[in-house]
Amino acid sequence: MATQLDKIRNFCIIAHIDHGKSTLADRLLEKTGVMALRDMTDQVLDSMELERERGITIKSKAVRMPYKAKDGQEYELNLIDTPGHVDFTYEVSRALAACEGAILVVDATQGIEAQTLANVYLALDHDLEILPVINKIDLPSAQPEVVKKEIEDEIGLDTEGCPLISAKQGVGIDEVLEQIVDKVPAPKGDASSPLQALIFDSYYDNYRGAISSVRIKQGTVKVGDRIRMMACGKEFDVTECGAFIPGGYQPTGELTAGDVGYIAASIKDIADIRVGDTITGALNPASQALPGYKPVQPMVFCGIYPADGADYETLKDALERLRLNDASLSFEPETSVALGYGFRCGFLGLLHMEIIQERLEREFDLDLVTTAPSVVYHVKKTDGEMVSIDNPTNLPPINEIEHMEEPFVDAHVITPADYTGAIMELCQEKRGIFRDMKYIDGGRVSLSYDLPLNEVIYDFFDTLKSRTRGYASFDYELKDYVESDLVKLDMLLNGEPCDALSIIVHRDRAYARGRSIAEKLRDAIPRQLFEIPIQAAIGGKIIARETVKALRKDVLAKCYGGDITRKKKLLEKQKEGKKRMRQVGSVQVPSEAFMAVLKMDT
Amino acid sequence: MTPAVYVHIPFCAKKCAYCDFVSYPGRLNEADKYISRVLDEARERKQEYGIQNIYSLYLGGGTPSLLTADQLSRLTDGLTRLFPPLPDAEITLEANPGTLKPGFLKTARSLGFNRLSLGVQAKQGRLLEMLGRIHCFDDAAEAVEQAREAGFDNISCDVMNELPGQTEEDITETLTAVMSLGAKHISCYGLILEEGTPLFQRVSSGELRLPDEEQARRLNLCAADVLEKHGYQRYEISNYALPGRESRHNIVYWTGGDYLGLGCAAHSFMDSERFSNPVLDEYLKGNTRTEAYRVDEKGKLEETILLGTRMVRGISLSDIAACYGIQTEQVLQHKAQELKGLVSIDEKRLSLTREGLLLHSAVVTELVNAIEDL
Repeated sequence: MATQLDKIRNFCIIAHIDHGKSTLADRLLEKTGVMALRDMTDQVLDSMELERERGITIKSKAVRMPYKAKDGQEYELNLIDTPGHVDFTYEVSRALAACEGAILVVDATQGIEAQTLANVYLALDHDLEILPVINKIDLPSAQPEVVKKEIEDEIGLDTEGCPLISAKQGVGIDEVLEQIVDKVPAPKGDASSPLQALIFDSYYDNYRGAISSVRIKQGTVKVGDRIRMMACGKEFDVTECGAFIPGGYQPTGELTAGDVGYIAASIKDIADIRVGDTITGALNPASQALPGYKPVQPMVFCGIYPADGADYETLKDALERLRLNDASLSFEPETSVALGYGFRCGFLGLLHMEIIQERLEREFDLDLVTTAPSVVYHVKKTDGEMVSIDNPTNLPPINEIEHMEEPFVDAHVITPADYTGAIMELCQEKRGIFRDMKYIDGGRVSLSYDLPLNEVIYDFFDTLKSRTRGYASFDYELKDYVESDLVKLDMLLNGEPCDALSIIVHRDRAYARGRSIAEKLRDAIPRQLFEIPIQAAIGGKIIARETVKALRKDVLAKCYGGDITRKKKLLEKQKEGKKRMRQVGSVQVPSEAFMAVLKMDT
Repeated sequence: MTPAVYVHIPFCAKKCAYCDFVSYPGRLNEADKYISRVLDEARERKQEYGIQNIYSLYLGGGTPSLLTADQLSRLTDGLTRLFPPLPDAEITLEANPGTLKPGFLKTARSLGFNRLSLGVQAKQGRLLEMLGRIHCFDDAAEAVEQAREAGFDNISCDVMNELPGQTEEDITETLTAVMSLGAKHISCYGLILEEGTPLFQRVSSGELRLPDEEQARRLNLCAADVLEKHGYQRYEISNYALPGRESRHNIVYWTGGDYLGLGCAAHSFMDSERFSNPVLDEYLKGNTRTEAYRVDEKGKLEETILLGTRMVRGISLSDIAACYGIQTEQVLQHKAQELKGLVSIDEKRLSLTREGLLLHSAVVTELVNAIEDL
């Protein structure tokens, strides 16, 4: 049943957040009749509740659409939906590598944004044919001509004949489909060569096990074939393969060069399916893997603990369940003196971290305590050893440290020119190193800075949004490690250090952070029977102090006619509250207090 | 079984500004029917529990002194016939000084009441008015006079503390006045502001201000000082008495004894079970014991700590060791050490210090949590 190669078009849609990527995908599905209008919810491909709510795509998804073009021929269009966030850049790059073309959606009212550029560069890296599309032309503030010029000047793409569409109102969709057929190159490849299938995502299905989303670059794979994962080396027998259709799978028995589809092979552990890895035949393996594979590297770490210690097992199960579908999530058991048993979790970035935390709370009804996110620091010890530290608690004693290095990112901000000053100020505050500034059409500026990742993950994004009223867009990629004057900031409650509250911070920022955390703790810790001093310290030196005053009076005076209900209720409430408290030395610290520390400074 | 019996009389002339208790102004016409229901309920419970004698009888409210002499007689006769009081039983009548009619207290005395509890609340007219009381202090003095004439010697007065605008001078003046009336027992309750009451409204609107924690603490300590200086021993968080005049009925509540509550909204603790009656309309339809739960062993231990530590004499660690094991005792001992200054242990009794009593809720939580995981 294999479609002839010249009738296949594999493409993705790239866009800055909110420029209409998912809505355009909806329209394409509708126009090609894959999905009837009545069955459609908005953002069909964003099936997770969270994705719809936040208007973001978290996982890549593929879908096959048959399309009869104006030339009278039947085509098979494979749309690969990609995540649109900097956290998932590697995932996006693998999805792009599975395509020959990309539709670049640009909002007619907003123009080019930071992620537009980042995505375009990625697409160019993969030699994709880029089809610019101007969306939201129905809006009164649409300026398609200005945006077209921006695209030509900034990206160097020809916008002659570029479709002006309104995905929301279904305007111009036919034109987009025609251009896909006309302009996106047909895939190349030889169905009889040794198998090379690029994994661009993975899923877990309760019946099929872990499933690979693949683009077949060379060769053929059939049910019953023995396959080998080239990077991880494991072998499996194919139990099913086929195409993706909205909300499900369409088994086809085989996939051949040029196809996009899925392979199921009774794989239990999703970790065996690595995004970017190449699947080949075990009997007739390809001589080399497809280029571009990188093992997943978590960039941000934090401790996740159940608010109620009794929920540890539930949390463990929940993390395992989430990891079934998300190979980029890593976690291992960790113990904290203050928080008890929990997990050190690694994430691709802050958004990824937030998403996982939110899913744990929502989908598994868990109450969590999370510690401040940390990046991975490199510590050169005096004995010459280099260690990576993702948890401040594990920092070697200060006399064993020769120097420390922290990761810097290459950050790009695009902003209306009015906010240039505000952004430069913010980047300075965040220890940024100015690299470049360019004026773009439409009165906008593109700024490049080198920024320490630990400042980016603290509150950079929120502050950026608030200082530019949401107009600035931001994108970054990891650059390198730089030697830096970092210190461990400890918080002491009643003289006892609380491990879960320690952070690694640049010396220049330590005083301000210490003061701010002490103040937040003072407000978050309820008064107790004794006065509680809260101190921030670097090494042995106290740099800030606050006090939680002792309770002075706390008693119920009366009970009417032997009605002790209220006293019991109060006791029950206090007992319940205690469950959510952590004992740090003699001090009861509510779970919320650990979180309050993470809140942005106002 | 020889329980204490509480009877709730839910009728009032007027609702006080701070009261959210089950009491009804303007329904006194239902008193006869109500008394019949109470006596029905008493018969049922007597059968159910095989009650022979009672240890104490307490007629509270609401305002029991609103009943007519006849109603009071019918109720009391009925009850004492069903539940003959032990010879030394404490039989208390609660009375509002603003409601006393000539002869009523004489009738009460002749029915066997040997203790009178008067709601005096304050000396100062402005505070009484704020509380929405229907009497002035002179009415209270007058009531005490009447009571003494009627033959009551054991007189208790209720006083309220920690009121908006109340000063240490105010509470001292009130207590001094109450002591000079010859009260043998004084209950001094800190105000609990109840949601939905007129007083609550006035406080939330900002019209009145509750004393802050420091001020409430000073008022509380001031009352204790004044009373103790005059020989009134504190025996419970809010209760003070001259030697031998402690309320036996009250003590039953704090020490885990059986008590039977009759009448609407009355609470009982009988045979390890706590139960309570519904509000008046439901009760008049014949519904009783609409809420009930058993207190298991762990619950009893918690209650012993929660309620027993309200008593100045505290709880017996030997009893606890005997009932719940030596480990429980040890954990409590250890916790008491940790809470030194708030909790003390003397002759195998664990009790709260004066400072500890001020922090009773927080201290109890500590103690109960300490034994929680045993």
